[in-house]
Formats: sequence, structure tokens, C-alpha cells
Amino acid sequence: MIKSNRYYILIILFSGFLLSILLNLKLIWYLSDLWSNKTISYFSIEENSKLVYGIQQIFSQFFVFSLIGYFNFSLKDKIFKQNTIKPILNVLFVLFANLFIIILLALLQFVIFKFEYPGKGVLGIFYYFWKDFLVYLIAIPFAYILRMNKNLKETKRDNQKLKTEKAKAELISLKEQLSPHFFFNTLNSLSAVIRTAEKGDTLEFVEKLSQVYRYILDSGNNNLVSIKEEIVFLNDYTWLLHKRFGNNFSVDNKIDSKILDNKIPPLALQVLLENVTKHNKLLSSNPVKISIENTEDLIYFKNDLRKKENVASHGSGLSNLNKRYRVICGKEIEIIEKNDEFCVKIPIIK
Amino acid sequence: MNVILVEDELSARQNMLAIFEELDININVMVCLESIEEAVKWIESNPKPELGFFDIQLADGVSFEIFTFHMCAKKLYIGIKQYSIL
Repeated sequence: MIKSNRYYILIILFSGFLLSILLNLKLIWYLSDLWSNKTISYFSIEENSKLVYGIQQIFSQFFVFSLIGYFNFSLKDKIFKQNTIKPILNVLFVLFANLFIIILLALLQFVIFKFEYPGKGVLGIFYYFWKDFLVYLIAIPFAYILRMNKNLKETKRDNQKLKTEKAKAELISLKEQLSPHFFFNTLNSLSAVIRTAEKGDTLEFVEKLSQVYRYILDSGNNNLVSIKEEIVFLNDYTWLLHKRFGNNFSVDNKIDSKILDNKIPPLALQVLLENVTKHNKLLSSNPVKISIENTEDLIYFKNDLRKKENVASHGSGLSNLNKRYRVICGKEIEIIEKNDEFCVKIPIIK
Repeated sequence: MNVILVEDELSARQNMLAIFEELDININVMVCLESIEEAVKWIESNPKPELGFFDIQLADGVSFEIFTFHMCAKKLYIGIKQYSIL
């Protein structure tokens, strides 16, 4: 949570108050002594002047601390715009401004309290100058520590913001990578269905196609979907793929009905299935068997490995899925390639 | 005309066959082949077709590989159009 400027100014004021009390503890003790021992209700002249002097001290130190603190904390940024002046000049300016304020405050106190100073003549101004030396010495570093603290928090927040924005952008671009290949291939299948199949089949095809596309478009809005939804979609998608590839592959879904309400990123299974059809030799003489299984917290997507030799493999499908997992939940997918079997394990998100 | 068709995707195959039927020419599709392996085997052991239609990207490779086995084609027309719909 980022605190507003007002919060820091309150801290400065409060610290100024505490410090001025602390520096004048003597007076407080003196006062409490007076009160506990006194029976008469008025002070002597000596006591009175001590009291007035102490109160002056408290007020002036509080005022000095607050002003110096506030100036170094934020006011100086308003006066000296950092990007318009060279950094070294800026430091000098701030230094002089501090000195100027200190002298001004000393002068002010000298003018107001001059009847109180212990020295004589104009030299009294030096007394006021040194009197609050400790306060300056504390106020300036204090203001800088506060500034650093604030800046640190702001950078942290900005970094976080940047990170989430980057992640969002990444996610969107990843989702948009769903290839137009699929769309055109499906249209080709559709024309084959129109040419060869019965009227009912064509309608079924269009229906599945519209369901698949609705799901793909919707997936842009969700980072996660239930496994159930994804599987319903995957069935339609598989149906469409069968129209294109015939029975050159088969999908055996062994997912436990218990985990259907858990989540995965949308299109995760689709990406894996697309990956299989892209990288394996799908032949009717030797169909590729795909099976989907699960454990408590992983889905295993396995297929017979019949690698096409000359497919330019960018590996973008799997690496994108992995990126999405990392962005969504910080988990990673696992790829296990054996001689005759390819297996991708994807985490189930609960 | 004796024709062979080399295409690994079912729907594209169906499309081609349907188009052949629609065309009012006497086209005799001798065989539909799915892969380079099948095509090479078939071409080795059968009379040569007059015309062949080859999908470029097949399951087990690029169909030009077939011609490295058999330099039998007189002319090669290559049509490339991404996302064309039959």
C-alpha cells in the first residue's frame, strides 16, 4: 500500500513534536517538580521566564524540524525541478536553500525572542543559529530517509504494475497466436463435407465449428476454464479434426470425473492435440493413439511418437502453453519424450 | 485420363475427388495415396499415370522427395497458395 504525501508530512510533524519534547525533557521535569511542590498558584518571575523560555524552545524546535523536514522531503522537488537543472547544481541549490532556511529561522527567532537570548547584541543571532543545530542535524537525514522509503515503495509498486501489465500483454499475444491455419483447414474440411456428406452432417459440422470458435473467442476473456468445459470443447475440436484427418488418430479420454470442476488455462488441451497432429505422421495404416489421463494434480497428455522428420519445429505451441502457466499460476508444464511415446504433464489448478 | 492423387488429409482428398467428378472430363483416378512411402512403392510397381496431383506437405515428408526416387515426370507444375479453399 502506497501512503500519500500527507501521511509522510504527518510523520514529520509528529517526529518534530516528539523531538522537541525530548530535547526539552529538563523543562518537563522542572514543570512537574514545580507542580508537585507548589502550594501557591502563581510562579515567581524566575520560574515564569524559565517556563516561557522552555515553551519557546519546544515551539521553535518543532517548527524548525517540521519546516526543514518538509522542505527536504518534498518541497524542494517543487521548487527545483530535477530534470531541468544539472544534478550537481541541484545539490548545491538544495544545500544553499537549507542554509538559507536555517539562517532565516535563526533570524526570525532572534527577532521574536531577542529579549530572551543569553548573549549580548547582534551576536545573539549565532546563539539561535547553534541552539537548534541538533534539530537540523536530525531533521535533514530524517527527511531523506523518509524520501528513500517512499521512493523505494513507489519503485516496488511501479515494478509490480509493470510486471502485471507485461504479463497481461504477453497473455493476450499468446492467445492471439491460435493459428489461422486451423480456420482454413476447417473450411477445407467443410467444403469436403458439403460435397460428400448428407445434409444433416453438414449442419452438424457447422454447429461444431461455431461452438469451437465461440469457445476460442471466449477464451480471450478467461485465464482459466473448468476442465469440463475444455473437454467438451476438445471433443468438438477432435470431431472436426477427424473430418480432416479421418481415423488417422484416436483420442482416448480417461480423465477422472472428480477433477472436472478444477481449472486449466483455456485451449491447453487443444494446443497439445494440435501439437500431436502437427508433429506426427498421421497415417490411416498406422493411427496415432492419444490418451489423456490424470492424477490428483496433473493431466498427462500422451501420444505415440511418430515424428515427422522435416517439420520446422518452433516449439511455440508448448513453450507458449508453458508461458501461460507461468503467468497464470507460476507453475510449469513438463515434457517427457521417450523413444515411442511423447508425454506432456500439465498442472491442474484448484 | 489416368490420374493419381497423393494427399494425406481425408477432407482434401474428398474435395479433390469431388472436383474430379464435377469436371466433365473423363478422369480415371487410378489410386489415392497417403504418404511418400506408399507413393514410391506404388509408382515402382504400376503403370505410369498421365497426371499426378501431389500435396506438398505429406505426413512423412515433402512430396518432392518422390521425384528424387523417380525422375519420371515430364513437367512439374507447382501451385502454392496459402489458405486456399478447394
